[in-house]
Amino acid sequence: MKALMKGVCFLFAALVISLSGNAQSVMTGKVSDPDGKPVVGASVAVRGKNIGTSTDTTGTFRLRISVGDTLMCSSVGFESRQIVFRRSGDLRITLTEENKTLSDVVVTGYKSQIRQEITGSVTSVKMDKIAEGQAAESFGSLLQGKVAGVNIQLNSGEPGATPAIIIRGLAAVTRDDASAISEPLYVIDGVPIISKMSSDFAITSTNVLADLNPSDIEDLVVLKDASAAAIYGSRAANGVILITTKKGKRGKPQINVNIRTGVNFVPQLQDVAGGIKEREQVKRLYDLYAPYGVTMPALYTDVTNPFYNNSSDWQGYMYRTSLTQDYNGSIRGAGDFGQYSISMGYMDSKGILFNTGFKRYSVMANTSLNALKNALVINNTLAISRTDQNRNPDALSTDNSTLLPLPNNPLVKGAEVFQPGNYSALNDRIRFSTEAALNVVKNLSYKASLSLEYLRSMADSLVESRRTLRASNKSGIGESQNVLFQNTLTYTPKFGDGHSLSILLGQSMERSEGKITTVNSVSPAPTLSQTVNWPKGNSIGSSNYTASSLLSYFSRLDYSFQQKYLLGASIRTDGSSKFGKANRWGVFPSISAGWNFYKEGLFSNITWLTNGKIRGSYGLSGTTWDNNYLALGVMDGGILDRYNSLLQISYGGISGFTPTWLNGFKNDNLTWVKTSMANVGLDLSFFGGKVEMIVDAYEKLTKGLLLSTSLPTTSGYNEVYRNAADVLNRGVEFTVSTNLNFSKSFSWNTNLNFAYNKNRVVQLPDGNADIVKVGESGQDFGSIVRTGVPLNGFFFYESQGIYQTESQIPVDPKTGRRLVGLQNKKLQVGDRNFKDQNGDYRIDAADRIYAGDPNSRWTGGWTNDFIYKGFSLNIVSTFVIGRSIVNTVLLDRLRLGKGFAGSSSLPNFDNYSIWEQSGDNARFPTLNPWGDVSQITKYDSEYIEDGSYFKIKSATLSYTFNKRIIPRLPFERARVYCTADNLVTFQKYSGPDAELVTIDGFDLSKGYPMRRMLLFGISLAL
Amino acid sequence: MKCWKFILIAAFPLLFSCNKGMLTIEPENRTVPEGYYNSAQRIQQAVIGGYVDLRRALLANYAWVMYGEARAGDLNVVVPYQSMVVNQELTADNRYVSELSDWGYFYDVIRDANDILDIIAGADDEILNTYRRNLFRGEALALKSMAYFYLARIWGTIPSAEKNNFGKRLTGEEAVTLAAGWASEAKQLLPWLLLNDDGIESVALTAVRFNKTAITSLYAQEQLWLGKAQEAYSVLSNTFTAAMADSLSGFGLSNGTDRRTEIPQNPLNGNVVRMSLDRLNAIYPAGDARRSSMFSISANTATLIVRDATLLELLPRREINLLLAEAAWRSNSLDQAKAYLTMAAAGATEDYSALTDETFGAALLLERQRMLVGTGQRVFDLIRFGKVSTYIPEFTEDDVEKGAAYWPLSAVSMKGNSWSQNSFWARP
Repeated sequence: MKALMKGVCFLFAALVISLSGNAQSVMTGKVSDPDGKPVVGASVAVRGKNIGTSTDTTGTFRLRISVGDTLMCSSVGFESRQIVFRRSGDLRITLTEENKTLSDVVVTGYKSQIRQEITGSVTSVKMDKIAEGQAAESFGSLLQGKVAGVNIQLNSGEPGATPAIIIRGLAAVTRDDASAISEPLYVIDGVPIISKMSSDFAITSTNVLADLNPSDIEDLVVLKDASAAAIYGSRAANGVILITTKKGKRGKPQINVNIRTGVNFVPQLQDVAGGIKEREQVKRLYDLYAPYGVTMPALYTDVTNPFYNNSSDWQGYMYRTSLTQDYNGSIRGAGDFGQYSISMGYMDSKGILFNTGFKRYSVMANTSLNALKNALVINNTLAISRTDQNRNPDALSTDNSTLLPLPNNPLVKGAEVFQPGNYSALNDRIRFSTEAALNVVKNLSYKASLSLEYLRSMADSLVESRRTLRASNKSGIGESQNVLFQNTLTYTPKFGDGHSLSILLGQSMERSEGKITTVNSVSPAPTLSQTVNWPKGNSIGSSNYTASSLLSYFSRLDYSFQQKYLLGASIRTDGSSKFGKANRWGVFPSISAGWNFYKEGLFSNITWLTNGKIRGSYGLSGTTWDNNYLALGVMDGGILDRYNSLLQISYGGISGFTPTWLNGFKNDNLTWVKTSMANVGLDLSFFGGKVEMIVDAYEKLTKGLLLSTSLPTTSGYNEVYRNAADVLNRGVEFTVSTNLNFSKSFSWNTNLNFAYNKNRVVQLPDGNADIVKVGESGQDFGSIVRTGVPLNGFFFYESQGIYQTESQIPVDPKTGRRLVGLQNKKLQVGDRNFKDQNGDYRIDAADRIYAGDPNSRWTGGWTNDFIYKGFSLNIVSTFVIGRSIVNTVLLDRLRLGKGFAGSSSLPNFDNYSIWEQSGDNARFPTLNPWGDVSQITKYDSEYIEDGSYFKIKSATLSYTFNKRIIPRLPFERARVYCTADNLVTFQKYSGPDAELVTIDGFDLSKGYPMRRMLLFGISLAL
Repeated sequence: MKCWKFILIAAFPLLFSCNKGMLTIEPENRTVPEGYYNSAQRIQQAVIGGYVDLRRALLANYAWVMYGEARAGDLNVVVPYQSMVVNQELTADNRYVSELSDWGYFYDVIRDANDILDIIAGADDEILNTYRRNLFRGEALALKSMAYFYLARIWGTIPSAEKNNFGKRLTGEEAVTLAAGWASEAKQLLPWLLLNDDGIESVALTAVRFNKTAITSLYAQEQLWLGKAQEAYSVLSNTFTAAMADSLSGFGLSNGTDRRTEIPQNPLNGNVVRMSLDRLNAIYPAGDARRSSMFSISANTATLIVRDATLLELLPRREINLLLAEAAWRSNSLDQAKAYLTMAAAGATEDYSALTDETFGAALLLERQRMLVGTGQRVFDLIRFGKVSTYIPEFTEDDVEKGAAYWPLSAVSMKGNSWSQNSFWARP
């Protein structure tokens, strides 16, 4: 019976096949992308028939079709296509890449959203393409100029230095230096990471974010406004940067190798007069100003001195051309089982300054496993990295007199010009996270994740003496660890006629710990040991520990009606151990709305408008501070009170006890720094996405920044901090991008973004008293924080030129006394003419004014991509307009003391207009090194310059080979490229580089100039 | 449905992790122990702490006499920084002078007092009986009042350390008004005589802790400083009635050990603090009966006779009549004023009965200089009587106008805050 049935079936089948064969036949086709690469897993179906298949790993499909059938082909990331089948050639289907802007899915806080449905101010940047052609220590420098409103300043050219990343304006107030910046929160694959170590626990100054290899980043999303960021609550006030790492894609394993080597060239350095010119200048200064009987050092007069006509190039000796190597390899893939991704990277960037450099070793493995018929996805990530920054243990001076011989001169070998030794800063980071996502029922999913992060930094420094063979060293280790447990429940129902809802409920708990141990030798010991192994009694050690915890509950709701009307709201409540019990919880709500107006009937006839959305949002987010125990009354370790007293004190026969033995003052009222931000935005897209425009306007008010109040530091109240200062940032951001294909083989994409931000201090403690910034040891930074004006303005004396004649020096008509200069100087012709602001005929601290704003008004970037066949040229430029900076370096070099001759190099005075005699129309006053008070004064407004610049940051020329161009290519794809980094800077500033300044606007280029790099690389996809 | 199992498993850690206790992190051995002040004895320790800080504030580097007679040139303190103080070179880099310029200790006292007030407010009746509650509260208020009074008299404008207006700039007048308010409250709370642990009235204890006599004197001084002589006069005359004569007590600081080396244990030691004979002669004419009882005179110096070496008098009983005299004079009751002055100055060679309104001030100032020597009042008296430039020739009237009579602030006092030097001392 069974055999019979089989026979019948066979016969029937044969009949059916032979019958249908008359009209239909099995055809083989191929789906590929514009580069000719096969598209794997694309679905191909016949319209109107229940026939469909998907492509295999070679992009091939087989389908029974007949002439006249319409094939529908679609794949994720590509535009769907429909083809009417007429002949076999029609089955070679090329899919074009989807227009990203419309249906792009963007990772936002704790979830992903379709770009069209986003109501906040969110910008995403595809990092994979950027990182492929550029070698960078951290993604920070690659992000420069890419996102409107994100101002990234490199500050220093030193390998491993930390760039300053400020989103929508500075909102940090300190009484001392400007090291405090308003830092964003960094979240990698959904897990907030340790992005910096508090100053008390930082062992190294290496960029903590440099241990994340930029080549591992798929894309990067910047949440700028409160509605997008408020879901991250107490840490989101300065914006959030979400980083998504690369994952495997379906198809055959993707193996990528990227090998590049860069040559770092020394940029333009300080202007040095050199050899004979220096001698002439020194002689001239002696002739003009030296008091009777003071003669030049023999160095300048002794013609028998073998170095009499020497001209040592100190900068040339210390700076050199160096190499950067960067190698990255990865293997990724995906299938029904899940996905895997393993990547490794090695970077070695040698600094242009002697003895400096940065290395990174990184490994990252990520796997996802599907179970329960894909209802359960388990995702594991392990990332291990090490960065190694080398520095000079001692400050190197390149500013020695050119008439001194270089240390490598055989005649002076062994001179103590700089101390040999080394300083190494190691950062090791391990990140592990595991995540389980379960689709409970339709539209309801639950996700739990646990992540552990461990960051260890070690610093070892050894300073030797050439002459004595004695050395001293310092060694420290700092550990930070973070445990985070998160739970989220997402419900995304769709109902009725286009109503869709997304509700997120979540909870997270986090505990962070920090530990530090340092040991250093008290005095140099006669050993060259690189480790701390000193004779007894010659080392001092210390250690410290800190911990904090954060407990959060959060929820977000998004509603969309036909993707036309959008509403969003979120709320987060954070409890932190940093606060007193009374004020432990903060609530951070936000609300937003959007209207995709182009979907209205009114616009249906306007074909050139592809997309149009108006957004608006308002929300509250917060920031905290580093010191975990500020709200607690903490004793100073080891001593019982600040006078080292014992508790037992006798008073009137009673044993006393002073309750002032605390280092801090318990302040239960300390609370969150809260930032409220309102944002309105407009997204427009024209001509099928060829031109896009985004405009945002915002107002960000940061309230309750932490400041110490006006009690003296020595009182029992020395640690009293209050939420006392308010700062307002207002701005507008524009982004215009085009995506133009002029012909099949030539296209031009450009992205121009610029942002205007103005900040203003709204409130300060002690009745809005000015804060003149003063360092720990009492030095004045020349910066002021004052209400009504931007943060950290220059607090300088106002220069009115130079006194050319005695009669110009004002005389007090009441007393007949002449104006008294700074430090009681009796003013003379050739001295700086400072304005006596208060009219008391005395130039002193009371005559300083708010003289300039170091905050950038306009920032932005302009990126251009020209693609012609396999060639592509990518040019990235950044610019900053409207800020003032101080040429501190020039000031320091012109400030000559009595012993100037033979100690430091001199700039070529011909390049500067310096006063020598009456009538000289000069910018700089007399240099007289013997004057009772130097006229080259710090905080002279004459040194404030325009800090605007336009920088062509990088230009990459590349050629891509693929199988379509060279069918016998042994790789899937190969790209060779050459990148010029830090190509050219256009600036008004007279110093070397207007970007290398501190946050408060003082030139740092003397510290480490920014190299120019020429990078050659090849990227292979196997 | 099978999936519900997973939900249960997943929900478990969710519930488990919602433990709010995790937000409390108090590093062991590094924070203040909560609940330490759980007995009257321990609360008293805190009060004593306040006195110890006051002692540090006034005795460190002989501060009380530097602010007072030493600065005016009456007393010589044999320490190297005396010459700087007497020459009004208060901005010198001398470590001791700069410590004298620091108001930190006074704020320690204020903080102690505020802590004590908080502790008392939180202590229930089982811990503190009414006597102790009133005593400790009165002492805390008195300590605070005295600290602010000193601060305002030494530096003029000062920051508030009170919770409601923390950090606010208080003019000298505002600060003293606040201080007088606390003194007035303390006056209601403090007893004439303090009880020792056995519940017996103790004269020794009363002499080194605030009592009703002392707080009344302090209150009167504050009112006089504010120019409210009438108020001072009525309080003084209503409090110090004849019936209370036996209960009066002075107030001083108990001398004792302190680990801080610059706190002298025997502050009026004749080897350190003395007066030149010329100066003594200028103040006390040879016939004055009080000379020999107050000073032991050698070849060319006079040293103060210290009857009780364990005590440094700040508000002595002998000042009461002087205060009454001043309050009466300033309240236009010259006759009473003269009577009080004559009573106070028993043994003086001068006949005070002939004084007029115009001459009374100078006589009173002189008597205060004579009788209160060693208590550190001199420069404050000169400020109150408007006689700084008369007696300190380094300063002109104009200088005094600009704040010369006040002490400069030390650099450390101005660090990390918005304070700046007063206009006289800001001059380089």
